[in-house]
Amino acid sequence: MARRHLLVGAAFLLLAGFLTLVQVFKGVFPAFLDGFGFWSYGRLSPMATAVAIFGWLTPTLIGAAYYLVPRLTGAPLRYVRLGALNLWFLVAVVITGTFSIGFGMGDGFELFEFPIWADLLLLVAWAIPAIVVAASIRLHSAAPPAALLYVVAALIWLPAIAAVSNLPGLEPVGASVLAAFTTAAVHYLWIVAAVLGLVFYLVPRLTDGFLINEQLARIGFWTLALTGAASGYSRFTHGPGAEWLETISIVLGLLLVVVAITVFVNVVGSLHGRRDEIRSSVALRFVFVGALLIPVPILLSALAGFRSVASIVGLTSWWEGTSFFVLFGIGGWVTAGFLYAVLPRLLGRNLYDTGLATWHLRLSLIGVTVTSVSLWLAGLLAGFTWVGGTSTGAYVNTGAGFSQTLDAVSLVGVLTLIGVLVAFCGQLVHGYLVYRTVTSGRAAVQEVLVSVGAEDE
Amino acid sequence: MSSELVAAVAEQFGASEALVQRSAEARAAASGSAIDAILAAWSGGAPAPAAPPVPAPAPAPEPEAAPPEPIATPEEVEEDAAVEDAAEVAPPPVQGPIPAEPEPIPAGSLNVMLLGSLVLFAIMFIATVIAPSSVGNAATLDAVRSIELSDAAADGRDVYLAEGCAFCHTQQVRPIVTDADLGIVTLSKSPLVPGLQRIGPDLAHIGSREKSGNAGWLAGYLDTPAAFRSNSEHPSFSYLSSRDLENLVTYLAESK
Repeated sequence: MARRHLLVGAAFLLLAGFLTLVQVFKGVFPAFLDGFGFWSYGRLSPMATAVAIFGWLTPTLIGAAYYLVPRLTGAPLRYVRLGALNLWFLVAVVITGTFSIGFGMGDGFELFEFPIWADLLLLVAWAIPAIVVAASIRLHSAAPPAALLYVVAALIWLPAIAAVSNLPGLEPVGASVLAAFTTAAVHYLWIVAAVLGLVFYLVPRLTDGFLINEQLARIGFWTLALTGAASGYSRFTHGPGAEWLETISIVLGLLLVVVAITVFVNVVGSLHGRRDEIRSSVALRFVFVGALLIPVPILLSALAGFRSVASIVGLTSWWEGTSFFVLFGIGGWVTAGFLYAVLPRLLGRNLYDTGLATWHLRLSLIGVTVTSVSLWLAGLLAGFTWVGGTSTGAYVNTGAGFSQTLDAVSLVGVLTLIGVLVAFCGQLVHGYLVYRTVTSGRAAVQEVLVSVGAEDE
Repeated sequence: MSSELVAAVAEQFGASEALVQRSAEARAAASGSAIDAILAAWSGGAPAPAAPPVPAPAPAPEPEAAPPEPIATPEEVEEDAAVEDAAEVAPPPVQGPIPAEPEPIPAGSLNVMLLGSLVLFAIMFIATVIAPSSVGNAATLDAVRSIELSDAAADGRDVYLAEGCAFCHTQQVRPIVTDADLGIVTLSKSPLVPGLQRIGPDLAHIGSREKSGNAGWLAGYLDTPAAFRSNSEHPSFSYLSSRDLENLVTYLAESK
């Protein structure tokens, strides 16, 4: 079951990368496919995000949870057939919902743009993995490993996020506040939390060592639980929402830095003096890079929440850069590391070519960095230009005058396109490597498992 | 337990001795066999004794390089589980699991933590989504800036949302220097869509502008932008039905 989830996720990554590439291409060359509703920028943008989060990262992280939970608890998964069937249900919902957006039936609120009926189906598809895992948990000690805590909590938060994402009766501003909350929740309480679970699982296992400070990881967990979703409103600093909400979200955004510190200390501490192991294991390199860079989006989000900084980068591509870094950077690197670590065990086949995995890391590192940095730079340029235009009267930030304010940003847009293209090449390498591993990887020792001590099941 | 056997198996499978030892103990406990018998079987590459024969879940291996024999075979797999899923239902004998005597879940452990994390989620949701939605700005300010949308404009707002206009345009004027020339500041009871990012200009007061506030001009521009502004990068909405386009234009014209 875990294997199928991981492979489906890998396939969706290619689709997400392709849609993102077309989206960014249209940003630079707006005339491309102009006049076709399905490919209009306003529809393409949420389609690409939906495929990336719901189609790629979600099945991958659910599959990872299915892999982790039995191994960390010593208990077999329950409702295996339900979980396996649910994968295809989830795929059907994602495809249907994405096409609905493409055909102009989206509801336009960030991340949960699917029509309401598709969002409800998504809720069901997200609730089932939480049920499967929650029903399977059986612990042997009073203190659950941090990895288990992160992964299972993330899986349980997921349907909770979906459940509140379509709260009826809200005015557009209220709905935007809700969208800020749910978007941040998906980023931090689902993707980052689950990814951290994988990091805290893989680092000790790939080094045959231990996590240097489990307690610190738990502190990070509770900080994430407190701040992850509610810090989202900082994106709307100076916006039409309540001012006190801004203050709260800014403070919570700063507290997220605690999470960054706990991850950094744990990963660097656990891998201290293990340079050779990092060099020799491509999976560990992916995990190391992803874990080491988790503080980047957290710090940049916290910084952008400040009122003075938000005056410049608010409503610019700064936030898009951060989101891209979380999804395709942190999410991409850690899940790829996980895949490269566990696929041989699940398939009984070694990676087809570890050299290709190294190329995947190089290309994705360059592509994601160039893309995100260019988006951050474009955000800064746009923000300063707007302020400068208003202060000096050189530009008018409306109508045709607005185009002038974007002139400085257009060159950076080309840089973004190059970055996305390179990242997509990395995704293609990843897809090819996974495909060849499944079909023609060299045979290896496969995990064949026994259900030890399950007499009471 | 023979340490030589443990060392031999560890070397054979490239695993640490501690892992092999733990796995052998677990395997022996599960099968009722002696640990040394398990180790001897593993070191010889044969299946461990006393394990009931179950179809091996391994996928078809490469013909020229047959995989080693499984170290153990699956057992006690849930009845309804697919055979190929058997490999995922319990810890592996070689890599990493910590099979131990099952104990009841202690109070105050994971379940309580998970419940706590859900409660925390609910509290933060109420505090930062529900509460602000019901408080908003001062009532007097909201009264001054309340806008009533017509039915057609409300439908047009749905088109605005479905077309993803909010991914490029905002409809919020902030009380900062950047937005000084954009019009009156937007308040929380605004019926307009605040938006996320300004790839295009803010549209909070588009209906008040001389040219773009004209419904006829706006309809033409949205249909064929290049005909109205040679350097326009705005996408054409020529694919919209005339009714949707009309409603969208009405919504924008009423955005004042």
